[in-house]
Amino acid sequence: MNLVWRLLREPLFQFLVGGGLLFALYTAQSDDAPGPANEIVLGADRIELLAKGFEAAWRRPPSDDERRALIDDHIREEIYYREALALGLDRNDTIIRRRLRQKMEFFSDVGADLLTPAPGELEAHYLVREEAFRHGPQLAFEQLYLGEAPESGTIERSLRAFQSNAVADEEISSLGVRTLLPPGLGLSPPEAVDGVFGSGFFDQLAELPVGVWTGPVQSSYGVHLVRIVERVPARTPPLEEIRDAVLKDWRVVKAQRLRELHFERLRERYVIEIEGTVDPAAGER
Amino acid sequence: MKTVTSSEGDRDMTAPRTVHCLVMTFVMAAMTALPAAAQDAGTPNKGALSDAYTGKAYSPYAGRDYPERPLWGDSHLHTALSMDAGVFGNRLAPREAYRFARGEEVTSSTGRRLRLSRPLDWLVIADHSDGMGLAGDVIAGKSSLMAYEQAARWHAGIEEGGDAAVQASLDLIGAFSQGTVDPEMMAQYSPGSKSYKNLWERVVAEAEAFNDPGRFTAFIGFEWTSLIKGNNMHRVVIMRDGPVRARQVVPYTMGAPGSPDPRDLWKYLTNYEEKTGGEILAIPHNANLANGIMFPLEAQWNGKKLDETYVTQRDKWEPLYEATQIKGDSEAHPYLSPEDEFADYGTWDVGNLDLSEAKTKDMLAGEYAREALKRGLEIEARLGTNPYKFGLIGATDSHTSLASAEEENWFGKHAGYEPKPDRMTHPMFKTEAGTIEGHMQLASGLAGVWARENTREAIFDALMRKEVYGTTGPRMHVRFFGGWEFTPQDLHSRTPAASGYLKGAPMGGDLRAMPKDAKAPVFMAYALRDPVGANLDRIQIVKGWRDADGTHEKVYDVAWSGDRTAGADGKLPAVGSTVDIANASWSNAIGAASLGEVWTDPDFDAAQKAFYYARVIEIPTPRWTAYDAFRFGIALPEGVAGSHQERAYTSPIWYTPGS
Repeated sequence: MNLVWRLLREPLFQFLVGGGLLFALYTAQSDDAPGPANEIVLGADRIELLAKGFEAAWRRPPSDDERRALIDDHIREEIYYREALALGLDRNDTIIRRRLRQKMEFFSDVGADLLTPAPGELEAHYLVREEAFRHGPQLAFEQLYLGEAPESGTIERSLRAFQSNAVADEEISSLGVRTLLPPGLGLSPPEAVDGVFGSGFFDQLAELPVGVWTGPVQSSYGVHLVRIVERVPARTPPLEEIRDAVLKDWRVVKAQRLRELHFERLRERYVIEIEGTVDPAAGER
Repeated sequence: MKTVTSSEGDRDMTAPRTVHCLVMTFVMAAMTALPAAAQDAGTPNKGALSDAYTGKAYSPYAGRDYPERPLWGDSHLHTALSMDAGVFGNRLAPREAYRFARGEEVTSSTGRRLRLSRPLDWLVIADHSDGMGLAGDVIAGKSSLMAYEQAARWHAGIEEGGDAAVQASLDLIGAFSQGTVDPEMMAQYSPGSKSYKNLWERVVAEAEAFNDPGRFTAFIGFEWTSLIKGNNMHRVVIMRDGPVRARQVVPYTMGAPGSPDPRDLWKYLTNYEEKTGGEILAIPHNANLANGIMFPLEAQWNGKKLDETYVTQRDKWEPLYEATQIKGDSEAHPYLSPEDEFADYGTWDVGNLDLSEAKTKDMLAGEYAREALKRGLEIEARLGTNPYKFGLIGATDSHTSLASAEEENWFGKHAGYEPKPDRMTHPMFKTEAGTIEGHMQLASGLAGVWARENTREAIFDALMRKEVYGTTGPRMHVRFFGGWEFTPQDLHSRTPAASGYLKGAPMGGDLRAMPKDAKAPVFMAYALRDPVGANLDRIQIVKGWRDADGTHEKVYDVAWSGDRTAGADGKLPAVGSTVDIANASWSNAIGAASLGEVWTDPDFDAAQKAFYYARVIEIPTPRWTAYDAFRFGIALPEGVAGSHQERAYTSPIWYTPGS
């Protein structure tokens, strides 16, 4: 527990500082210098921005009159804005609430990209999330199609014929039903095998012995005999081989955790009471 | 003509016995012939061969040098980075798009959990190069943008949500397609700006992170979104290369410093290859919304005559055409192909892309793939090169970051059309020119690529040689070979594909030179239904040719299920239907699990240029509209089709006299 907290503390700091810094930049860019509540200062930058906006819409710079009108309008907006805030009109406005939430989430997301793992952290992540980096098993096999619903005699006869090495060509040729399915597949992952023979085919082959004809095995087309040619078990590549992928995954997982942590920190400052039967914590964990 | 189905083979166990003897004899012959022909190691003597292939120890599957299974992919997907996708509410970055495509479960922009029934093998994220990233910034209300009246207005609309957001989105798309987006604002989201370069590097890095050779291929690409007054000339651009080459350029745009003229795009592509040593191609799509200017016969979009440069450049850079996708199917049109009862599938012939101009009949010939293939023969006779010698694929063009083309798992054109009760009846476009209704969207399409390895290089090379086919969503396996010597035994062997490659050309290729004793080309076409999908109704071969009177076309039924025979009109009766629309279900009680035929052109004239492609038709199945109605417990609105016959289109094989 303590270890986890110690690990988290440092990046959370980075994360919030990163987001905060951006927030500060953003604020500095988009607003004029704050002054006393009853003073409105229009900087040259702001006036220039207003003029640019006009130019963008009208394809020419504003005339002096128009420039004055722009400024007047901006002042009007600013005054309304401040009075509205003073009256509390920003409260309980869905659009404003959503927009502010979006800004908060946006900044925490930006912070996430700045994270780098502490020494040893990536290794630990790799071990914990090993499952996510696993390469699935692969199989190469040959198959003989026996039709949609062959008689059990056919299956046994075919198997015997294939398993004995001294089988005449004519006998083999009398086995099986013509199909346009491929007679086998080279080393392929489960998705590829199931993509050709239907869901669950790979799983049926997973335990079969290598090098001998066995069966029957059911595909979405019917019944088959198969011979496994090669089997490559599932494997997790060493960290060095997939460092980039692990780092990416670490960032995603970390950012999610930090976002939640950040939110929980904020939430701790509040006492939440919900009327009725809903337990506030029930849906959270 | 004979019907071959596996289900019939099952029932009739006596006939195949003798066939099998022949087949095995042939297989043995093919086994020994193939490696000798395929390798460059001299000619082995007979003794060496019999040592090498000791009966059953020999595996015909090891070391085979042709593809075993098609690699499935979507060559045309948009994420939140595309301006229109973002505006319509797509919040999913490329990362989620890749994760979804490779089979992971993700949450859609509207908060629904979903995953594909089966993963894709490869994906091209092709975000619009014009205004890439703009929508995200408009939504976030980036301060430097809010000075622009348009951006501020769209931002306000999107913030307001509901209909205002929809209106803002439509305004944005409209401004973009009519070229009225504020040029100064566009410049920040265009080549030349630092932020554009940065964004492109992120796109490239993201593809690289998900590219996993052998397992999942993530191509680097973009969409060049040329519109001429709302007439669609879009191309998806795909690179064969990795980040080292891709980072040396930024995408080409329609707006400044780019151009809406395809000839300028081709210059960009030329420049890319010269500058980086890489390889690149372009795929046009939605000719059906081009109001006639996609496949010109005489004059280009700007009125200038087609010339040698145009036809050679187009032939060089555009090996494929995306014939089916969400915004309609443009393989064939019933007006152009009145004899073809399957031509009216997913027809969107109301107007151009933004419905600023209504469609007229004279535009259609410049809009549909089959007609373009025919026009290509005509132009080749005049200018020496066929500019429309393209293969056919399907792709989604989905703007949701979700490459979904399955009827029962379909997430719509953009975030506004993710599953909800009214998505069928909510018009997509509505202007004075007409209306595109929501239910007209197609849960289509997909591309099957016959490549040996799942890598950028192998798949790209297969795209270049057109060894690909498009489907409207299902994953049926389709093989199509053309040659002069195919026999029914080739098809009945255990490895028809081995004969296919040995004796002929695969889809996308040219027929080999006509042997002296040959009379007509022979085609081997076969198909297996999607392993978890619907049975097949029929395989058809579509032929187009040119004679002194001009160009012509004919659709031949070559293999079909059941005991059907053609009627007096030469038409095969319909396969029937098991679809229960009210319950959104169907069964495989009709149709065949596989079909195949070796077919000789009965009307061949060795003096006429021609092309042949196969079309595979499924039995009727429910459309996404039926699944919607069933799941939301609503009635299918009047006039909305609840079932259809999905299909696959292969790339053509061409015949040129004297070659």
